[in-house]
Parts: sequence; structure tokens; C-alpha cells
Amino acid sequence: MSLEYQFFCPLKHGVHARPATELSRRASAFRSDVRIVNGRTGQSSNAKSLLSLVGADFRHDDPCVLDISGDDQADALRELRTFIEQEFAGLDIAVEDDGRRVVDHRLPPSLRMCNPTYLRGRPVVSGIVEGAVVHLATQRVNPELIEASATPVDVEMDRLAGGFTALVSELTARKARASSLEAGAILDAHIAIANDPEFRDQIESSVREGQSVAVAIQSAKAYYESLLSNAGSRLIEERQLDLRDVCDQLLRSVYGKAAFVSQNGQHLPESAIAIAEELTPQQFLELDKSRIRGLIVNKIGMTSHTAVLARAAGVPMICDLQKSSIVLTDGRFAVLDGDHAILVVDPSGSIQRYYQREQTKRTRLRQQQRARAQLQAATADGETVRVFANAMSPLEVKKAIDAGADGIGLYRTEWMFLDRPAPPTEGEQFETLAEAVRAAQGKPVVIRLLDVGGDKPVPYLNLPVEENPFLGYRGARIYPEIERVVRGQVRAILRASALGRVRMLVPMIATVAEMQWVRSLVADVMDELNQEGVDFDRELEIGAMVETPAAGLVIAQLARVADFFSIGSNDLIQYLLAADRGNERVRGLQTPYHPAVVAFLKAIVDQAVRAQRDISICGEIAGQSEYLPLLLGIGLRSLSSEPTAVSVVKARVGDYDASDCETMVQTAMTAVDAGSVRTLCAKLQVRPKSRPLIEPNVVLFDSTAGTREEAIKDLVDNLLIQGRIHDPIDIEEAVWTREKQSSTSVGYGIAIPHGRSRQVLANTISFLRLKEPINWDDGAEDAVRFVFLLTIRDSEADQSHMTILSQLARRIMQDEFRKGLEYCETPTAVVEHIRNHINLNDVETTAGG
Amino acid sequence: MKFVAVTGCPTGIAHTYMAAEQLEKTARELGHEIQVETQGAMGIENELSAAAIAGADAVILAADIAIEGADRFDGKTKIEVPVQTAIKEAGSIFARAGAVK
Repeated sequence: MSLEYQFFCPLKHGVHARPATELSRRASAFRSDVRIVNGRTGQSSNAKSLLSLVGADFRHDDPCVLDISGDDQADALRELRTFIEQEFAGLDIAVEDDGRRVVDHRLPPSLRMCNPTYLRGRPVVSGIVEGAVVHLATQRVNPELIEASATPVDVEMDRLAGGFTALVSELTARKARASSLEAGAILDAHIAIANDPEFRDQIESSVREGQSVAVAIQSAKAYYESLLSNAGSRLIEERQLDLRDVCDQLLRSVYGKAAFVSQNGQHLPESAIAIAEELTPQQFLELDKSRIRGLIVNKIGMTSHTAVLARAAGVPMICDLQKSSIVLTDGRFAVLDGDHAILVVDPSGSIQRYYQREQTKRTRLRQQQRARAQLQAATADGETVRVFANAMSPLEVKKAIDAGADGIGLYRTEWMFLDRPAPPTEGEQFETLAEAVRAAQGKPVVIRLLDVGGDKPVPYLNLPVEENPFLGYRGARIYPEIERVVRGQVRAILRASALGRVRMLVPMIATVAEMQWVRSLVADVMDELNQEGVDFDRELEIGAMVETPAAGLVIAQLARVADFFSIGSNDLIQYLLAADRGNERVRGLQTPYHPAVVAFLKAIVDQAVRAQRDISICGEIAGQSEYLPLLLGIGLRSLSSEPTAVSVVKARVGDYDASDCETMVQTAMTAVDAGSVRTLCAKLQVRPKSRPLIEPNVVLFDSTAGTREEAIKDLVDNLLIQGRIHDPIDIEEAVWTREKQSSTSVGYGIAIPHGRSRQVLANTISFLRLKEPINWDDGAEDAVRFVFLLTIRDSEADQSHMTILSQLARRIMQDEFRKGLEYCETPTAVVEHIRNHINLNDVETTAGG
Repeated sequence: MKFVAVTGCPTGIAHTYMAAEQLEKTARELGHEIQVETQGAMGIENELSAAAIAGADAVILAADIAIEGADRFDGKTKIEVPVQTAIKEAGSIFARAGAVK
């Protein structure tokens, strides 16, 4: 006689993998048969089988009957009943937000108000693309295995048993080494699937019926995939990936490497947003870039080499997509927004229109910035700032110089050495470097010596695989062991130095001796070249990278052997804060806003200035304009960013007073935490610009905006393009905050949205004439044709401008003014008309502050 | 009739002045006298004197904010409206004033 226990499913998200794993584990501890019948569907499942449980689609409040029969049924019932009553519900998870990611990047109101369905990630490469989501398969099962006929049943059964044993012990061993809770949980789920009695039974019976192990695994995979994809819960659908993984690993443990062939030429849709768990640089290079529009990679730090390649190829990319109940089935249409690090799924018409406007803005902004980028950048108070680019190929050098870079601040040479069986010859290296130096058109190129370690695959160097490669054998530390390779590279660099302005940079310096070693090698090679009669720059400067805290504290001593310095902020920050940049759980610590980072960078720069050595910074923060006030305040006057960021950085430099930044940094160094420093930076007043309140370039005719959101976005975007505002999101927020208090539609077909913000560089009256009148807000009785946007600098001293605005407000109430506006057919006419009715002169001569 | 009025809106950039303009214009058209004080981003302008208040038949308060010096109008006939009403239906405000008087 079996025992029964009735209950209602207490899990809000149904029985998904996590509770199912735990229930099956508890049930498996007993000899009795344990089944659960779902009263809603009538389906009975084996409670010892994770797959059987999740496949049965138990939903919240489903009536369930636990049915136990066997010699230990009484114990089993007691135990499982307690488990269900007390622990089961606690195994549910909050799906929508895993809470680990601090929301840092804001979405603009004009996007937010379109109510996008999106997943957040972390930004890697900016840019916006739309396309169909596709999961990249980097390998597929070897077809020969599937076609081969089965060996005798007992042989196949033995293979399978051996495969399972090997798989479980390997997974268990990996679990023991798992670096994070998340990784451990995934491995637990994999172990549970590998041990699942139903899963094993399914494969074993196929083999007993005469199928080969390979065919049996593949059919079990297909069976459970369809079972899981029919389950009502999206959480369960996601388990398909785990199932696929376990099946593939099982195949591998039975057949070894021969189980798979690498997958090239996977069919990709014409515009694909590719999703991959991991993507090696090699795999990235093999992708069909004509179809891959965007990339989402889960396991990647900001500095992974795949990211560097994607940036170079202009493929927008984000990483660490948040866990969510949104299932990204292949073919689902989405927009990848690399700027805000989100993937917007099934974008509505209004979202697509938003992104079209955004693309237009980006294009115009880029043109504007490019045009200005050829000029020397200087702060508002006249300090010259040189903006260099990081590059790793002659093509990138060319792009960077075209984009206005003052030179190449970091030329990475690793690329010539990776993914090949032998090091490149001196000749090969010289050819590439010579091309890079020529592409710089006489501007300086800082070439960094080989920077590799255990984390980069260079098989012929025989570098040991290390527990912690970032604290290991890498950079300059390995040079004595690979002297022949370094010598070849030094020769190539010296030869290239005859063709332009070349400097040499040595990575990962921690001691003076390391620099001395390189210097004497260079001196030796110079002698060699002299004797050979080969031309080179005899004055070639050799610099040290400052990426270890040790180097940062002995700049004066290093200055005796280094002609210049370059701060590698990515590594320096990770070493200073003792926080691995690839480790999600300490990522919160990884911020340049930490007062320790600010103080340390300042100390490094001060030492270099005292030693009369050039110093620049070449980490990611050099290209992220939010950190610009910090870098300027620290005293850096030379930055090296990714080529795409050069024009942006150059455009931003002029927004700040170097002296304001320096004062701010003094406070930042003594701040309590990173949050306070971030606030200090954000609050720093951007320098006002002296501009007329209204000019033809802020008058927009025949706008196609169809909503209030689009009209405001068009106007704000134009202000950004005209360099009249700093942070457009802040401006939009200010305008919308006002708009939400009460509509600014004032009748007569006119709306006057307005806002005050510290992010305004120049007070402006912008004007928009709509092609088709729009319904400004639900309450508005008449449609709006003319929009005046007033953007005012949020500071005390602007009363005179307020006079102008109050005059404008009054004029709008006058018929004559409005009629005149109707007759204006050009932006210039609008400006004239407004000037005729409002006296702007007094104000503009005093403008600028 | 003789009126005094105060206009004010949350940001004090536009509606305060539009309402003032509209009240002045409409009063002229209807043959009323009016003095309008604005409480906007520039602070109080065209401030109403005690005499002006005393001499007014009614006070129009067209504001979406708590106005400064509201006690100046204690005991007077007050017409309180949102600032939008002064911009869009100023005529109706004066009509109301006629009715309450």
C-alpha cells in the first residue's frame, strides 16, 4: 500500500530547475519509488528525475499528489513532506532582476517612454544595430559518428557506462574548483542531469534496442529539448541549454575529441545579433562579418581580446546579459544598443523610430566631431591636451589618424604573435610596423613590446598555464627566457623607427632591473644594426608602462632608465584594488572613482612631472568621457583611447576648465567612497560657452516627429550636435520632469517645453516646425505645430536670460508674433523674426559668464 | 472693474509670463484695469503695492505653486485658478469675477 501526500505547488515560477534539482536529490536518497501527479494535467512524473519534474510543467498552485511506495516509504514521506512544506517555496527565485548589477547607465526618457522590453548587459563596444538573434554554435556533432553503425549491444553499453562515470567525475571535480557560486550552481544542475534516472534510462533503452551510443544521446537530446520547450515556464525552456551541454559533454567523454567537428559556415540570417557563451578571438575572426551585426558574449571582461577585435571591426557588443525570463529564441527580432548596453527584444514601431533618430544623431554627431577633431584639443582655460589612439594594425592606425588622433599612444604587437605555430620573422614584423608608422603620417607611434602571459595562447613560447596569470609570469618578466624573440622584435621596431616618429614601450614593469635589461638589449641591437649599416633612430626613446603599484611608487627611480611613462590603468586599477576584473563578484570594487585610484594616479603623475618625464594613460578610462574631468584634474595632458573615442574625447576636453578639475580632484582624493567621487565628477560645472541665444542651426524645419517624445528628442539631439549641451540624458530628464508637472502645450498650436540643467553649455531657444501637427499630450485640445525648447543653464547668474525667456513667453500670447511666425519660410527668417520682437542684444553681449 | 493678479508656475520660466500677458491683454479687451505680479524664476516682479491691492475689486491668483505673500489678499474677493486657465480661458476668469462681485 503506497503513501500519499497532497499539496499545492507553492512556487511562483513553477517547478523550474532549481527546486526540481533539490527535490530530485532528496527523493533519490530513498529506495522507494517517488512520483508526483499533477492534478491539473494528470501527468505523473518520477520525482527522482530532474528532467521528468521540469518537463511536467508544474505551475503555481497546481494541485499535486506525492505518491511513495517501497520499503522505506514512511521515512521518505516524512522527510519529503517536511521538505515541501518548509523549504520548497524558498527555492524559487526572483526572475526579473537578479539584483547583482548596480544600475549605473541610465536610459534616455525618450526611449524609456516607449516601454521597451529589454535585457541589460555591460557595455563593451558602442553602436546600435538591429537584427535577428542567433545563438552561435561553435561546434557540431561529427556526422560520421551518427552515420556509423552500432557495435554489439554489450560493447555499446560498456562505452556508455564508462562515459557516464567519466562525465560525472569530471563535473564533480570541476564543481570542487568552481570559482563562483553561479558556476557551482550550473555544474550542480549538470551533475543532476547526468545522474537523472529518466535521462539515463532513455539513452540505455535506445542502446539496448541496437542504436549506437552517439545516436542514442542525440535522440535523447532531441526528445528532452522538445519536452522542455513545450513546458509553460520560460525558466525551464532555458534549461535546454544545460541539457544540450550535458549531452555534448557525454558525447565527448565517450568519443573524445572526435565527437565534434568545428562548425564553420553556420547558417546566419542576413542581419544577425550573435549570442555566444564564450567567443575566442579566433572564433570571432572566423565569423562572417558581413552578416554579424552585433555580438553578445556572456563570459568576457571588458578587456578581453575578442572585445578589442569587435571594436576594431565596428561590431557593437555587450557582455554579461542579465538573467531574465525573456527567452531569446533564434530568429527573434531585436535591437542591440551598445551605447546603453541593452538588448531590446521585439521593438515596437515607436522604438524602431527612436533608434532611427538615434542613428541619425550619431551620424551627424560623428561628422561634427570629426570635423573638429583635426584641431588641437584644449581645455576651456587653454591647457593643451593631446589625444592619441590605441591601435593594433596599420589599418587601425590609419583610421585613428583620420579620426583626428594626435598619434598612436599604444601600438599593441601581441597580434602578430598569437594563434600561430611559430613567432613571426623579423622581416614580417618590420613590414607590418613600417606600414603602421607610415600610416601615422609623421605623427608619433608608441610601439609596445610583446605583452603576453599564461592567459594568452602563444604555444611556441611554452609559457606555463598558471593559477593566476595576472600575478604571474608575463610582460617584461618573461623576456630573459625568450630573448631571441624579443631581440627580433626590437630589431624590427628599430628598423621601423627610421621611417617616422617611433617610441618603444615596455609592459608590466615592476623593477628598475627589468627596464635595464631591455635597455641593454636595445643598446646591443643598436650596435648590431650600426655594424650592418641599417638605418634607425639613434635617439629612440624607451618608456615604461606603469601598471603595477610597485612601478607607480618608484617613478623617480624608474625615470633614470625610462624616457617616458604610460599608465596601463586597466591592470593598475585591478592590482591596486586587489580585485580581479574578470570576477563578477568583486566587479563593484573595480572603479576608477575609488579615492585610492584617484590619489594614486595623482601621485604617479606628480612624480613623473617632477622627474620631467612625459606621462600618458592608455587604459579604457582614457576613452570614456565620464572620467575625463578626473583625468584632467589628476594632471594628465596626454590620453590614449580607442580610435572610435578620439573625436568624442577631443570634443569633450573643451567643456572643462583644467583648474576646476584640479580643484575637484583635491576633494576627490579625500572622499569617503567611489560614490562620492562619482558625484563630484558629475556635479562639476561644465564651462559655459558664449553663443547667441538663437541661431539658424537651432531652428529645425519640417521635422518628421510624430509624438511629443520624438519632437523633444529631435531638439535635444540637435543641441548636442551643435555643442550647446553636455549630457543629453540629463537635459531630457529636466525637460520631462517639467512636462510631467503639467503639459507645456499652451494653445495656438504652440508648445514650449523647457528645462534647466547644469549640463547646458549655452542657453538656447531652439525652434521646431513640424511637418504634421502632433497631439502634444492627451489633454491638449489643439494639435501642436510649433515647438520652442528653452534650455537654460542651472546657475544663479542667469537672470538676464530669464528676461528674454519671459519676453518670449509673453510674445507667444500676441497674435502678431504668432502670425509672423507662420510666414517664416527659412531658419534665418525665424531667427530674424524673434530678434525683431525680443531684444536679445543686451543679453548676448554679456553672455558667456 | 479693477483687478490685481499674481501668476506663478513650477519652473517659473514660461507659463508665469504667458499668463500675465494673457490676463493683461484680455483685461484691456474687456475694458478692465489690471496689474499683474509675476512670481517666476526671476523672483517677484511688478510687485503689487498695498494700495493697489486695497483698490482692487478682485484678486486673480493664477498659480500652480504656493504664492508668496498670500496673506496680503486676506479678506479680498479671490479667484484662484490653475495657471493654464489664465492662458487658455482668461475671458472666463473675468466673467467669473463679474459674477462673484
